[in-house]
Amino acid sequence: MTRMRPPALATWLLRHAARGNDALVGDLLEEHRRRRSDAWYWRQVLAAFVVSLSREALLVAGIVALFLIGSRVPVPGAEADTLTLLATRAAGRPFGPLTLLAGGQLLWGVTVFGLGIMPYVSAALVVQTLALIWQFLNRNASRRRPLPVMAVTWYVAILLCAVQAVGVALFLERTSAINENLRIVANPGWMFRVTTLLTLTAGTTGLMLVSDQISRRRMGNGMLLVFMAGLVAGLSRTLGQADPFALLTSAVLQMAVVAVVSRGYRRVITLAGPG
Amino acid sequence: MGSRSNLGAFDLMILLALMRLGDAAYGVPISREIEETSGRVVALATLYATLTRLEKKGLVSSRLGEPTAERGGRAKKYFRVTARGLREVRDAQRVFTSLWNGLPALKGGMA
Repeated sequence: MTRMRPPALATWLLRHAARGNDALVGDLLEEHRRRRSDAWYWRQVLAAFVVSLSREALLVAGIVALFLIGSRVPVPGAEADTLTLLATRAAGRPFGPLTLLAGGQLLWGVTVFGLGIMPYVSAALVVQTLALIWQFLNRNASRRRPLPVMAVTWYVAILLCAVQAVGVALFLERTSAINENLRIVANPGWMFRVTTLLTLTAGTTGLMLVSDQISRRRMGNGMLLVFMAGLVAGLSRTLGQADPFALLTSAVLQMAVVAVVSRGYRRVITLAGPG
Repeated sequence: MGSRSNLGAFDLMILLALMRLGDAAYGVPISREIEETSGRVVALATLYATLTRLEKKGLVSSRLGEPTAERGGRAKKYFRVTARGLREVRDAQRVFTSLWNGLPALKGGMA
């Protein structure tokens, strides 16, 4: 006996909850067609949703812990206490909460994860545009060469990291020179710039590795999860210093942007191959 | 008896259900087997999460079957107990039997 289709909304939810587990989706469809009710189907879908949510919540909690530990490791040569003071001031200013979260955690400390995962997100956006150009350039080629998407994204991300890190070092040196009463950089110069470059780039590269591992093991959208964890860690440190509504609005907007970019990136990887 | 079993009650139920079902062990029959023998209603997502964990521990192995239209073109995932899984089940049985033995309250189905 063939029953009607299961509830469309439940099936949509199931596809998201049981990502990577086609067997589970098939089992539920099979059971529903054979003998089970819509109520049973809904219960099973909700259970799948809770199971996937708890797995992702655990992952986010782990990465949040990583962020919190990293936020206690400042860039060598920078005075951590002064940086925290600057961050506290920034949180109270208009648009403060926005910038507080946007650049990752930079304003609440130039720490090892100071740039967050944002260079990777920006690189993913750049590569999506590059993929379109690549497709256009190869439109008449007899044998289409695929764009090595992941490799190119990593190169672009590391380049962005290096540029941003040098910018951060120069900004700190200049701020330190202008405000004589604020001691931010102990010994300005090339050594400080190189140390900042290496520390910030290494921190973001570590986050990129975590993000890739999560995606590769099909545990979720790595880029989005790492970004979310950074937000949660940032929020936990900035709550009470800034307007909660502004913080929350900023967090939701940024998460939406990262979700769109990371989904597009994964689509490009699927189309072009990981490279 | 050197080894100590770390199997939980639900793990053990799943392994036993797999052994009872043989080659026909995939999500739906496994959950039905557990439901019919224990009266416990099992969410398929929980079942798959446990099976994945047992597979990572090397206690079960899996293979994909053919996709069918009834399942929206999705393949069944068949599971079987590995030699290591079988050893764990035997260990658990031994542990439970030794604990059972000599309990006067449980003799002759009194309790």
